[in-house]
Amino acid sequence: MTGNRDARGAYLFAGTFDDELLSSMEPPVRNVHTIFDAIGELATCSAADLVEAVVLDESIMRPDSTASIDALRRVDPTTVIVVAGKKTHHPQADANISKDTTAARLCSAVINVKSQPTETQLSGDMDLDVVLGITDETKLTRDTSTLGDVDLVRVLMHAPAQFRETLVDLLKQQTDWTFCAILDDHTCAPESAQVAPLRYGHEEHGILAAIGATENDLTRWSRWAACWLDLARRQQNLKILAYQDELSGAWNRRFLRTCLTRELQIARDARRHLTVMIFDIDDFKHYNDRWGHDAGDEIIRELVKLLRTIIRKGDHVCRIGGDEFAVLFCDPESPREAGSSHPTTIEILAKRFREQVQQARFPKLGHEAIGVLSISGGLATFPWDGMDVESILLKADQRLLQSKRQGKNAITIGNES
Amino acid sequence: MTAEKNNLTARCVVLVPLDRIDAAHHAAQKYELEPSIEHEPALAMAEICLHVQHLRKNQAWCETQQSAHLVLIHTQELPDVEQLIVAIQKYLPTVKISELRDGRIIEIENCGAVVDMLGELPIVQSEEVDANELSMLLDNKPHEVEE
Repeated sequence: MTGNRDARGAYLFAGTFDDELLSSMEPPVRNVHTIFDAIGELATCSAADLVEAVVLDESIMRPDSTASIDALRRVDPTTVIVVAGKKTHHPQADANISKDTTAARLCSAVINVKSQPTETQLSGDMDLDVVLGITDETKLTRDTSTLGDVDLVRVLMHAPAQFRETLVDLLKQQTDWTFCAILDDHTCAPESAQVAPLRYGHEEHGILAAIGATENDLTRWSRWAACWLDLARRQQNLKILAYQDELSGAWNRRFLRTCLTRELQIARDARRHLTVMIFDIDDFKHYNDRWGHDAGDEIIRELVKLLRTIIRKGDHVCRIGGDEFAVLFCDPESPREAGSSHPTTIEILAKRFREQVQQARFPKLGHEAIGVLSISGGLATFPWDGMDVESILLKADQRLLQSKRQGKNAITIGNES
Repeated sequence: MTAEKNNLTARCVVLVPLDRIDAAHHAAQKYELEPSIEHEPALAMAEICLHVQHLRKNQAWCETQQSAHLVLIHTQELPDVEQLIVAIQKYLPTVKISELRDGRIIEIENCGAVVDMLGELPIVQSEEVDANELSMLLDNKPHEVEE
């Protein structure tokens, strides 16, 4: 799930910040002093210390901020990067905020970023709406000169990624403003623009910037826009809650079935193969009983994190039971040909994952437990092992059981290989 | 291939100012390195982090343990390199950090301190010390003269 920004974690502050801001943040907050420390923290943190956002003090960055931000993204493309400064706008950052911001504004800016589809999500792993079949641009109004509230509802339903853009189009159409934009922070607005906060209750959604607006008009429209933005965010959150596993950040069983159904159709149309691996942790109950559920939770989180480093773009990790997982390998390789066999790449990935689980370290299990964790799994591939969702999942599950019967710590691929 | 070269053939990250890139290519050729060349300290930090992660991932497949390697070339012309070294030693203590000096790649041992191993060690000429003074220095008591 490269590119997924929905997992929750800590805020990492790099540079010098007001103590009041740091102490008012919900824990956990970490503060380092150089960009190199920030990169090191990001690269070496465990799943339990996942960094949700890096807040960079503008003063520790060189005038050309590209390298600092690029370096952080190389190490962790999913973390939200916020630059806290005075004047300069850093377009590479996810959000720009004022250095004297409040905890609420900062959190709001981060939530705003996370509620938007990212480039990584769209080009790399997935767009949740696309995978779930929500996106259907044929149902949208093409003529942006006659937009109304109903068009906003349509966009929310069928193309949520375009919601902000449509909201701004509608504002432009309804007013005679020469400039209008929804921005993260007032520092990003043109100097001649008037700004108003987009606030709905305690939730902040950035600011509305406009040129040529009266104060009353701007306030009125900002309240209207904040209401819509709040609705969009709530809808997005509900979708994530419905399809994501809260503990591990992996997708859930509901997602697996929806996504697999859609991917099977694509594989059928494009004559591609599609592989599902189902696996579970050998004797997981033993770890829970011996080291406590906290340790069990950490194992689950670390396994998902490890798996994400191994799978490719377009593959999906799902937690489908307590310690049971499914990996959907949506292979981007060229269409299969007559007489071809199971894709060996996926067998290698599965084998590599099994071996790395054995090498993994789980601090909560203590030093004596290093290398004792193992998994058993089974692979099933369309079209060789099944033509529909049920038969493929059944075959993968049967092979998982076969691995267990044969003494565990194995992944059964199939008789054909 | 010499033992020294052989030790350096693992993939490494080279940090070099953009206008000195020729030196990096020359060193890569001479020492048969497979470098990821970076011109910004922050990007070098990111690359070395990724190298370490990559090596850890491959650890299960390798018989011998490899460590990631950062080579600094003309980095006195770049800002914040000392901070970079401190951060690497803090977060990635297994990384070898070396510097190209006088055509040789020398490992840096101390935090942030670039030691020129090729330089002649200074010889300090001191005044002669007699047996009594030596005994005072070593044992904090005067030399007992045998009778």
